[in-house]
Amino acid sequence: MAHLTPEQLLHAAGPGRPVPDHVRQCLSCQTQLDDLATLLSAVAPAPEPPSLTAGQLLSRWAERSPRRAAKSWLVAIPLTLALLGIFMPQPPPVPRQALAATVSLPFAQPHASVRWQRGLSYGRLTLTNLPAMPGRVLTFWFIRNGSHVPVAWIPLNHVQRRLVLWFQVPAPDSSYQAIGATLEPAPYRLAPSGPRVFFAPLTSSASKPSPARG
Amino acid sequence: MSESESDAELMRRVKDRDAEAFNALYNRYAPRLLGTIRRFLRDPHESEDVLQNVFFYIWHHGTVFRPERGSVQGFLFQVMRSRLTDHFRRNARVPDVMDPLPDAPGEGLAEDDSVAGRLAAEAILNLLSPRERQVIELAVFGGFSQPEIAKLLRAPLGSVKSWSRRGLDKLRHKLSEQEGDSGHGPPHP
Repeated sequence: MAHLTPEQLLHAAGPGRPVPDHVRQCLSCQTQLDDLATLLSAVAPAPEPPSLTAGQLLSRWAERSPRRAAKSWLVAIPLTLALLGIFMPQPPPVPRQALAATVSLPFAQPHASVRWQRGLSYGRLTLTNLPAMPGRVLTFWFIRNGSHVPVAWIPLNHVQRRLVLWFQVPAPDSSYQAIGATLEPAPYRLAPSGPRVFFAPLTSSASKPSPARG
Repeated sequence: MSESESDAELMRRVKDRDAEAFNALYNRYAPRLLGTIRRFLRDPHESEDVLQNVFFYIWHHGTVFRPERGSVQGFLFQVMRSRLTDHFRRNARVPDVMDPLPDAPGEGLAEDDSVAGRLAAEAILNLLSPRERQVIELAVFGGFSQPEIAKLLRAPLGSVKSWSRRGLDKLRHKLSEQEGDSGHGPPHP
């Protein structure tokens, strides 16, 4: 009985794909497929709502004519160049790491908790059991009306059993709504680009911390 | 519009230029398709352009769909692959699978329970070389075949097969180690 080829196994591991007949009769392939699908589902792309509705698309297609499209290109090119010149993004203020400490803990799951009071310039992050992921930087963001303000960067070059980190909060009186963390390929990025690994809404209570199990 | 109306029924109506059915199909699949497209394209505007091209094709060429050949979902992802391939060819670029989805506020704490799972999965996938991870993600999340991946990456098919096999072997090895640690799981061939 021929087992699944690597290509068949990878194809079948995708979300919503049909299960090959062979897998129903082969416990080994079934186990491999289950393991692989479970592993990859943890990092699968999340659905993302498009900015336009179906109705808006249909209206746009109905209105578009070749002549109008050509005109819009003529306007769009100089406008894009002008906007690029005027609104080049500036780097965000760089928060300062005030304190970091490391101690050893026995085996456990990764865990992150955040302590910050609205209005205070500093907050505290407690992280335990961070795995080693060379080339990845755990980046924490304060989130306000869809914009992200970076507050802390933790390179994951080696296993860290416990890390306590004080971070500076830009504009601490702002109405931040949540704090999130992503895995980035490099520090000091202007916006998140990697997978999210932590998200916690900041409560309206000024003194209540927002811990989250990792 | 019934939530439970089948994909096939919606597609049949889209072929007849039924805007309501198009709207339902769009609401059902556009977020998943866009999430997958964003996996391979860094730019959110380019991603939305590709998504719109997918649905433009569905609206204007829906008659191409043959239910006897496969599911509507499979058809939509096939069109997505085709439009993505066109996009990469037109822009002389290769997909970037190392820059996945951005963060999004307002989704509550629902993902807290999966933090450990994500970190663990990332730690395992980190064993792969960038090329090995790229071909695996293109195959699993994009549904691309190995010849398609070879064209996308402008790499020989033999290299794609090697990256795929080596990457899969590393994952199998790591996963079997973990199963060994937990004391169960059947032997692999």
